[in-house]
Amino acid sequence: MTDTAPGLPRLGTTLFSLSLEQRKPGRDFASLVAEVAARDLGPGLEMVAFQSLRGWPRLDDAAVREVRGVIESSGLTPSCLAINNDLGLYPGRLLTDDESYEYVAVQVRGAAALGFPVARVGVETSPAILERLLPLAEELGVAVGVEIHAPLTIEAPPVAALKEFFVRLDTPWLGFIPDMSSSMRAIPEAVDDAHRAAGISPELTAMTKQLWAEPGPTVAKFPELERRAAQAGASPAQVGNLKMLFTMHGKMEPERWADFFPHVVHVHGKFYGIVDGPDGLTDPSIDWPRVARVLVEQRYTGFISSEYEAHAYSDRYDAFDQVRAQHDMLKGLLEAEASVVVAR
Amino acid sequence: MFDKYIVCEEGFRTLDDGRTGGVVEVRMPYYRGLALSMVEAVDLVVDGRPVPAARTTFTVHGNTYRFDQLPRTTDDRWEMGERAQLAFETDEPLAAGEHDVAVAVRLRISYMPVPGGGRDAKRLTLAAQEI
Repeated sequence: MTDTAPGLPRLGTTLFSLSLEQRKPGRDFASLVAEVAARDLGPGLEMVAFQSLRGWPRLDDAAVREVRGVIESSGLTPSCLAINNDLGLYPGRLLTDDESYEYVAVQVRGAAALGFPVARVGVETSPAILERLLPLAEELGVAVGVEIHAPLTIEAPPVAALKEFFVRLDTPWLGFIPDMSSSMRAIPEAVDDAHRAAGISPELTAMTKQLWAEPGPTVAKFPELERRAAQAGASPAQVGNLKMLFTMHGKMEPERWADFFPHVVHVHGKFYGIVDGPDGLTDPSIDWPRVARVLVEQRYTGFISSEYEAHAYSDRYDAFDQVRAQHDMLKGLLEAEASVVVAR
Repeated sequence: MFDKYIVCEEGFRTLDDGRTGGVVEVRMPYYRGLALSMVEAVDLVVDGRPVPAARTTFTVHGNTYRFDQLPRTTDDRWEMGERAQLAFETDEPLAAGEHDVAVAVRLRISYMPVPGGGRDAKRLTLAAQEI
């Protein structure tokens, strides 16, 4: 296993990185987990319950034993189970608070049954629901983490409300899951592939990237993006793609992740591609040296789940190789940063 | 990225229950499974002619639904990568040979800023029927 030195964040993989791999004929859950272990992409193992577990959240005892058996025999350590709060389950209305609580609670119980120490939800799970989940989380020993994903940043009102809420409750059983999509320095190259496939001209993609890179909050730039896209004759579907470019890639300064501590229960090592540059492995769209510094300075010892997401845009790259490269890069950065922090 | 996998290259066939029409196999354009109540539409166009939803049915792992039943179906799911069978009736029998099949899937995902789903179109070959 690519173990980092004691006292440092631990590495791991979410099976979400292997979304395209999971769709290949003949590929099953057991073989996928075994291959993650064989390729030394642990020790942490995360998965999306509604992606990897058929029949979730109603797993019978035999299914629970089977999943646990697969994980145990792989030697990997369950790190986090991503669960969902499908507020739009019924047409025409959102789930009530009672329904939302029940929808999530059964999944937190499922996470505990499978041996996961953390269950991930999104910001659609409100502080009111989280507060109701707290006794269950405590009883089961499963921390419930709210993922902070682009376009959210520390300034977004729901995030500020969560921050206040976590500070007030100050419990280890509720907290944040920072996702690096919120703090990116450039739009990944793989986006170009997706735009090309969607028939979007390179000029329009370049214009959108340029607008993204300009200073100022991204949300304020939507009208300008729509105006320019309409001028260039983009179809509604294409405008949707261009808007996704804004919402999927946040521009928060990586140092701001420090503000989320100490209430961090897990970290998503979101990334879109590692390249072998003149100075070794590097990520053109996420500034990992700055991220690593924050995590080490905050004495974070939980997992960083490598979450390769360029598969949403392109199938040109091998997800296993990409996670391997990110692990090699992160191990080096974390250990180098640790020696700096210790020396201070 | 999932859009190009919506329409399956294999499994295109005629109905085998005496009605005229066919079956096209389709996959979910999303990274995880969703309850059928969140599948708002699976629009089908065959050889340029839209097939009304009332003339289609949707089958996942052996369970068949009419589209007007899906909004109430919260206890069954279309899993990621699972091939669902979209059966459709036509006025005339489908001829053997090539057909243009276009499918647009609309998904209701509460936390997405844009409507979920995707579309795909492929030219599929219908094998000559064995008699």
